[in-house]
Amino acid sequence: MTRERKLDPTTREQAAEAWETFHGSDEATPEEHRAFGDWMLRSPEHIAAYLRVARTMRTLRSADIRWPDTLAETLIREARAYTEQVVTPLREESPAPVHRQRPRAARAPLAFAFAATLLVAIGAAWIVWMTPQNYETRFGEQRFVRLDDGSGVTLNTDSTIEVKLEKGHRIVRLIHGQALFDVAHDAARPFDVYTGQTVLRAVGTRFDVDVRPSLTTVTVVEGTVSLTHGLGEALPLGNMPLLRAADRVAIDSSGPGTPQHGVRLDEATAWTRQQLIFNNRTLGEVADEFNRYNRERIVIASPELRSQEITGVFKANDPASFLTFLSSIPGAHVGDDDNGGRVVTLDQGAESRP
Amino acid sequence: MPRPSFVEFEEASLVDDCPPELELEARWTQQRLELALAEVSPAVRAVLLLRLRDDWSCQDIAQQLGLTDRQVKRYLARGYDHLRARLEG
Repeated sequence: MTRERKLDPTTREQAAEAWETFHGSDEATPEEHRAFGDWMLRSPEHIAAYLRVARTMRTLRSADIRWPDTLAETLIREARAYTEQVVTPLREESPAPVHRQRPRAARAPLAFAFAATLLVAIGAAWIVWMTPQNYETRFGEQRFVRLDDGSGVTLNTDSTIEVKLEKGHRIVRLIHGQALFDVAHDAARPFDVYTGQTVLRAVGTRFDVDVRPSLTTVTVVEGTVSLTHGLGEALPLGNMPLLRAADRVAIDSSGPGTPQHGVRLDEATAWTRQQLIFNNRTLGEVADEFNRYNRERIVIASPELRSQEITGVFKANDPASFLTFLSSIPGAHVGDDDNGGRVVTLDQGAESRP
Repeated sequence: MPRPSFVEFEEASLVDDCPPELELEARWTQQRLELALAEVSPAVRAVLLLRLRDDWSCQDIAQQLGLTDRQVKRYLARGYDHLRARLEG
């Protein structure tokens, strides 16, 4: 059996560009044609990469392919929102300015009054500058926040962060919920994320932190993150174990577990696209995940059904599709519960395998 | 010169024009494509669909999405790569 060689990202990118140049459009100049011809002849890897793209394109150009019918306007709107969105925090970022009573000495020299006003202004500005900013999402809401240092934070449903950007240090507290951090590189100002007793330090990287009542999960998407647990806030960061891209670690009350390597990153970040991707996850876990985003709670009453595993992709805001799936399971019934949610039961002795 | 002769076949004796294995493969490809498109970012999805489905030029896509040509090509490359991995995976 032959194994396909792994090609570096630059080669893959160049191969895609080469395909675009030769087949994809009529925009390429003769110089570009020549340049990509030369590029392909330079290495067998380049030819292999090009052939890969060509093979994919042959499949995609097949008449049998049915593309999603999403309108171009919708695609553009979603893409622009994704690449440009800067969200204003839900509540006031700055505290009310500190009011200070005007000195009663109305006959004081003008210079003194001016100096006093200036001091008050500087004091107020200092307090505003030093006060952390809070950003939060409500239930079922997601938002992207661009911080002043250029870092981006995507907040998942029902999440709160507190941000303090200081001269030599950037501190974010993930108070609850889930956030994907896209950290702007600044070697002089470490970027630390505090969650409970854990501190995660990153310099120019991308990672996801999911805080649940009894478990915090950290997934590194790009770069490296160092993790420290249980030492309080005066941390000797530096010789801590590093988590690398596609590593995930779960932290419970006893501390961090063994890191899991080779995590599927598209699944880990699917929530940022309002998607829920499940690979061999139990129906109980899937229902719990839907319940994070939707007020109409889904309760799977049958333990047998809860433990059934499925693989699939759902829209986070479309619990109806999951309920439809559940109701298609032989013996399963979907009904209303007393709390305005939906309850799924299974007939006694019914075969529950989907 | 003899005229070509035509033989009329009974419809029932003809081979199905879409055998089950091809139909299955087409359905599998379709599912993988949908999964792959669901996994990429909205920007990559938009670039892929506008380019492959709607046949827009890279320049038009760049203009509409507020990106540079270079960024559009990067998104395309990333998208092709992901589609390939999914379709061949």
